[in-house]
Amino acid sequence: MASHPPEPVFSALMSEARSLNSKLFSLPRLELLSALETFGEDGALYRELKSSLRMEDGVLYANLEALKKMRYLKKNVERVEGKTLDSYAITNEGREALNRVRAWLKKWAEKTESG
Amino acid sequence: MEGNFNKVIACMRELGVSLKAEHFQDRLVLQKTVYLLQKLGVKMNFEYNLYLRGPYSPSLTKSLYANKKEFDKLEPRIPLSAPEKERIQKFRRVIDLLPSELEIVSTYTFLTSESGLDEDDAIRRLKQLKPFYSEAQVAVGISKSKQLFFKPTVADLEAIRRETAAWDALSDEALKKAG
Repeated sequence: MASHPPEPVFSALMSEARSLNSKLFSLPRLELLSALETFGEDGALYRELKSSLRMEDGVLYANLEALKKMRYLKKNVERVEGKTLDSYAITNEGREALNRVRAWLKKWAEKTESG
Repeated sequence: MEGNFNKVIACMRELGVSLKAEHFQDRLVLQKTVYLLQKLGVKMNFEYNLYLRGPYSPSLTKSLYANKKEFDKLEPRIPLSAPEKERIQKFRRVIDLLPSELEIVSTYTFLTSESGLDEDDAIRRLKQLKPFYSEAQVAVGISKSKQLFFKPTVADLEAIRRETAAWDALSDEALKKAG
């Protein structure tokens, strides 16, 4: 049964959390970064992100712009079969930020599960 | 097992295409072409999974970026076997190398052969993943996937024979009457 870990462990966990970028802690942003992580420099088109992650334009666009502002993504313009389409690719900073969040979440899950 | 990027280059040379690593469209064509050629039996050892971009191989992208110059120049030249060349030519006869067509053909092929979906579910999932393609494009893509990979079973052939039997009979009668 999950329980609150002992105070020193919890304090250490929370202290670590303060070094993370809290603006990354939203489901759409984590979904976007982890989806784009697979494609590296290749990136993915806006329309592919929209259909696969099933996000509405407003949510998708706002979160992509926020991640771009944080320099976790870069935006490119691509030509595909005569159409001009936006694509997004994760940056090295984006990859590092995602890995830090992932590592912290793993620690948090382990510590709160064992109590 | 590591992917054989030199064979990828040889296949592109055999196909007579000149792709550039810096162009998104060309990278898309490469990804889907390698997937389909592997499904046809041209072994290049790149692992694919279904990601939001359809069948995709991260290791192929890595190899491409590590060997950009060689890829753009289509070097080195390694030989392909006669059966490999035959499979590549079969692919070329059916596929027009348009990004949209390759996306639909490869995604439908993956959904039916690797995700284990039946035709109806595969079409539904394909349309969910690629809603930006028209019904006509989807229909053509599915048809081309079947041209490349459909192997009729004995039951399929019997069903086709039964379906066409009535038409054959009518046609024979018409020919008799025409003398």
